[in-house]
Amino acid sequence: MMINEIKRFILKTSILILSLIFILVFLFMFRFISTKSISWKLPSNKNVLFMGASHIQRGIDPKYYPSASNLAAASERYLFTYLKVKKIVKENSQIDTLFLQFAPTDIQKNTDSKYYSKNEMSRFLPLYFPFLSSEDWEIYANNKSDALNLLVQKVFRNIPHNLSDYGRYKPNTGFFERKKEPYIMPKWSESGNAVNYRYLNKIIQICKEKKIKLIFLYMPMYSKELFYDTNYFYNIYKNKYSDILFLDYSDWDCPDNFRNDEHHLNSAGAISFTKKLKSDLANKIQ
Amino acid sequence: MLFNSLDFAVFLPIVFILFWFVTNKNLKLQNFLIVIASYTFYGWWDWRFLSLIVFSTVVDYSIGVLLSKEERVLKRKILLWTSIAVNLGFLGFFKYYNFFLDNFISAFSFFGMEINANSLNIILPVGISFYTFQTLSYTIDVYKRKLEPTKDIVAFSAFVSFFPQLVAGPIERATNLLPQFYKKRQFDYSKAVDGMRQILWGLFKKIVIADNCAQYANEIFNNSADYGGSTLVLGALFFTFQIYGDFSGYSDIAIGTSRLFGFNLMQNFAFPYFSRDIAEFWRRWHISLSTWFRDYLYIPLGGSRGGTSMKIRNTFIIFIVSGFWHGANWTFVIWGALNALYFLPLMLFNTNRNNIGEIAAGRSLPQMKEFFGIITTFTMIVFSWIFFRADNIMHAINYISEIFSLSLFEIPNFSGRRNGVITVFLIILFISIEWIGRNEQFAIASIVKNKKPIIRYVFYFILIFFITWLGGNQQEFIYFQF
Repeated sequence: MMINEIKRFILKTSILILSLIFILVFLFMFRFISTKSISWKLPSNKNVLFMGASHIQRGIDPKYYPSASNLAAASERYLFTYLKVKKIVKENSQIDTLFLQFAPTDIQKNTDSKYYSKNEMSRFLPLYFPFLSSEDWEIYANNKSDALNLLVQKVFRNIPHNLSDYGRYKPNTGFFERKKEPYIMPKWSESGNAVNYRYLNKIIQICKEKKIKLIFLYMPMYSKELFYDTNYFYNIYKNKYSDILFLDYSDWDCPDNFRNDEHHLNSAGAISFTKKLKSDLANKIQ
Repeated sequence: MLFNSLDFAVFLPIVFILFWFVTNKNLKLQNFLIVIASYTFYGWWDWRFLSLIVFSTVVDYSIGVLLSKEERVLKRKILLWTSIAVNLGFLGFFKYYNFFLDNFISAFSFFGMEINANSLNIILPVGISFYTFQTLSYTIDVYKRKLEPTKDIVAFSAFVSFFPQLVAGPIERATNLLPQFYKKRQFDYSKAVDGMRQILWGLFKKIVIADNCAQYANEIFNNSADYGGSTLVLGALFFTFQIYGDFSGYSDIAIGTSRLFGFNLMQNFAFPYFSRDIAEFWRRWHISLSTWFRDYLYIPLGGSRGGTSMKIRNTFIIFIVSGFWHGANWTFVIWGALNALYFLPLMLFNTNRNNIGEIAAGRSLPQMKEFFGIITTFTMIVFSWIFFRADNIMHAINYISEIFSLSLFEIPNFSGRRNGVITVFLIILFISIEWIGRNEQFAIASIVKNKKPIIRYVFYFILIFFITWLGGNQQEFIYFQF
């Protein structure tokens, strides 16, 4: 009698759960197909790409650089940039230059931690899961259940419709005020950077293969030495990537009202900096 | 292991099947399975702290056995105080060591004496405040001869570590839960289905209400200096629903899960935000802790017997200790004292039991007087939560002083306001459902009761849809830190 009751309970609960699984699978398929069908085609006059994380996303205004597309996204790690570059160069043969954010946040000893923070996982995994290879999934081998949880939670949300959902210029409207109290250097943990470096190397490789000029770009920021181990950063460049052109504007002398905070430009700063970068490049070419 | 994780979604069916199909013939084996499952559940978080639970279990079991053989009053007292010292010793070390050390150093330096002492990097074991109080209830009840000491260590271990309520309650009394481990459990279909409904409602409260509110409460409290009074009020309201959704949601999942295994846990929340006065609020909020303090602290201190000064003293003690139980911070002490101040007039004028009946009994809306009482009580509670949530007392004072400024009349503005509006609608929906189900064990029980299966299933799917789609970013349960 009791066993029959339990079986009845299990049957009814299973029907409910199976129908839920069915709905979830359907939603994943929908998301998968709709994400896969996004066009990565850029207008034919766009031959320059700006990619990376928030420094570039907030600091390059493509209106003032008509041949460029700013496809950077805040907190983006090189894995996702790599997946984006792969897609873009495949569908846009006109691309000849890639400006890639190269700053201590991308290079420091704990840069991999952002791959595993729930905030970043919940933003990037639902966007990129249809494009991840088995090698890419291995990064999350120790965070499988978190990754799956977040994918299920976000399956309905922010379904990408077009390329701009993967990165676009987002101006900041704030104004930077210098702190009155002294800055305290954050304690950066050493949780690893091997994954990010691996995908940086893959970006370099794909640029070589497609004959795209890769330029590392360090965007303007306020007193970088207050926040980062700059020696470590510059040594990494010197020892590992010195064959790549590196434009270091971190010390660009800009007024405080061009900044949104210590690390990012605001919209006025973005306009001014984009113009400056463009004119510097034109002068160099001449 | 979190209730709102896939790990638990796999763990629960496995334990359920083993419990009813493999170990159902043997009560001891079934209890043993509960112990193993509970240790796995706890060890998933940090296996090292299992040793604390095991030690606490062995100590209290042994003291119970010794108490059963001991008739001499002095010896019995020594045994009782040994249990209290061991349990509160662990709690004191892990939870309060650094707090007391820092305060001693500050106090001595105030008098010009510099002391060098290093704080320890102590991790607070999850749930220590809960299981410590649960085992203490056993020893005290055995000491008072209200309960026969158990000779069955497996049943006792299962009682101490019972996984649904191990890390965040309800804090069960030995008199209620322990005997349930002695008798053969019967599967009750309707109870199990009710349990599943309660789990679903608990997940809704946690994932949809608490996790969404947390995003905005955190944003506003963490950057309170940047916001005006009206936004800060909204921040306090978000936290009010965050803490309720989070904690009562956990309790619902715990009670619902226990029902699947044939256990009955006590109701921990009874729609506290509809309380008509503060005394009623404390009869409806975290009932298992309030009654624990009432039975094991307030009444032994003399309760409401004795003169006025005794009543005032006891009221302050119980509320301040209750505040301090939540954490080693002066903000919790102030929160407790504030609630004592709220409660005191009701007790002194003997009106603390004026509102013991159903709220708006037989009516769909409250009467004017009831409504006024609900709003007043709710406002006082929201105000007290500011101290509970603030990082320190100065933070709370600055927060409150900004509320009482002209900026109170501005339109609230905070980062993510557009999505915040959706959260406000969700809260309104939540309050409405809670109001409809206010006389049940949990809100949705009345909504699905005696309805056609199709209506019930549509309702379940809507809830699941909300949980999946409108859930906030996953947060740990707030009460894990207590």
